[in-house]
Amino acid sequence: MITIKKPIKDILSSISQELSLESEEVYNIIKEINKMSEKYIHITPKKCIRCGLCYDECPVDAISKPTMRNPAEIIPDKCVNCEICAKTCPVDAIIVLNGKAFIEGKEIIYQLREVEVDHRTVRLKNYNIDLEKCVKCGVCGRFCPTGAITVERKKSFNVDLNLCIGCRACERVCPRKAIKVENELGKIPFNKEITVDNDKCVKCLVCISECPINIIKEIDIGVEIDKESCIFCGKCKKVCPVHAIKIKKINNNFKEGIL
Amino acid sequence: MLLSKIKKDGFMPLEIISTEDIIKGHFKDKNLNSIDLTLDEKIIKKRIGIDNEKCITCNVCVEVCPLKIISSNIPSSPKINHKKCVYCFSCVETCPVKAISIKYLIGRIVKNYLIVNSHGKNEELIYNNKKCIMCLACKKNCPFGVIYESEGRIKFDMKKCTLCGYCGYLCPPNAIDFKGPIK
Repeated sequence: MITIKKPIKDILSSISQELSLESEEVYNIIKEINKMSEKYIHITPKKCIRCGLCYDECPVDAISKPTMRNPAEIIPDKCVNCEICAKTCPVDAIIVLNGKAFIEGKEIIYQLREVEVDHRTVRLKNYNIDLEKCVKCGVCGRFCPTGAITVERKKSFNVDLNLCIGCRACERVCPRKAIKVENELGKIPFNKEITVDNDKCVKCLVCISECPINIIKEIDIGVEIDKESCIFCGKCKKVCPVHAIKIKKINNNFKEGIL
Repeated sequence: MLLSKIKKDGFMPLEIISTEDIIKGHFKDKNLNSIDLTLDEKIIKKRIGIDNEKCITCNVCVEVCPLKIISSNIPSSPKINHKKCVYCFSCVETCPVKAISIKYLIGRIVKNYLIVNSHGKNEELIYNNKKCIMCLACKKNCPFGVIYESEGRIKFDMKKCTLCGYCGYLCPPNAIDFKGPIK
């Protein structure tokens, strides 16, 4: 965790200048504000192995496709903080950060902490290498996270399937498309439950327009959420004017089996 | 606080570096009251070497290495494949003339200081089920057949485990970690 303390004076004087209020007055207003909290998702460029699983799995296309040169990157404007990418990343390269800001006395305190997420299963199913296409360039070996691939430049290609985890990084970076990997991905461990209280619902339908993956439908008595497809981004819950949508945490310590 | 933490460890660190200056460099705004940093992440450096002058080429280390990465090189001292070494200390402990040495350094952040200590042999295995992706690379490659799968998680037969650290080295999401004494 990183904690940064800043003197409140500077912020007060800039706000008071802008609003032409006394800084004492501004302080009295902002000290009533509760803790502000925001979630960020970040991809550590050095850890990215270019497997592209995050790119494939992102439900809102908020990740740029990784290439051999460039690691995957989050497009902040599109990201809905559903954490699916962080849960899918096989090398723990995607981290979820929680930032908090609050006032304590004459200081503003910013806190940044990493949130631990439950990872889903990634496992090898089938590995295929077309040795006729392979030029033994060794790019795949550079990105393999477990060192399963050993390449002697221009001479030989070897893969130890006991070490392979099926992340498909080698397939993605291969310039000759000589590698085909099949993997098994487990269910995404959300450990959350979403409910709509249609007695409260006023049918304003804001949730329908807000849902990034369009899984909310209008029905006679209110709205219906497709619970199986929900990514629990919480956008509908945030905009609902009557708090009819609730997201609850459910405890599930065991990993869901492979689909 | 810093000193009491160091005293609790009982050993003087090899190096103490302030992290506050490092972090301040990343901010445009220099008017900060304080920065406080605590991280679980560790920085580890390891090195292994055989002292050719002490070595009597008995090759006991070649036999004892669980990963078979030390190869006989008679009449010279055996060769170690540094890339694959997991620093289990097996060879160090069996060498009759103490010719093999391991340098295992660990850096931790304690109260805004990066503290570098040397680290002993692993004593405890820590498994984080949340980070685990169940790829089973550890199970397939454990040199002692310690790891098995049960009820959707990885389990370790600690009676058989030698704490060699190979699974931790392999694990792609770093879900397996090892802890040992700080010296």
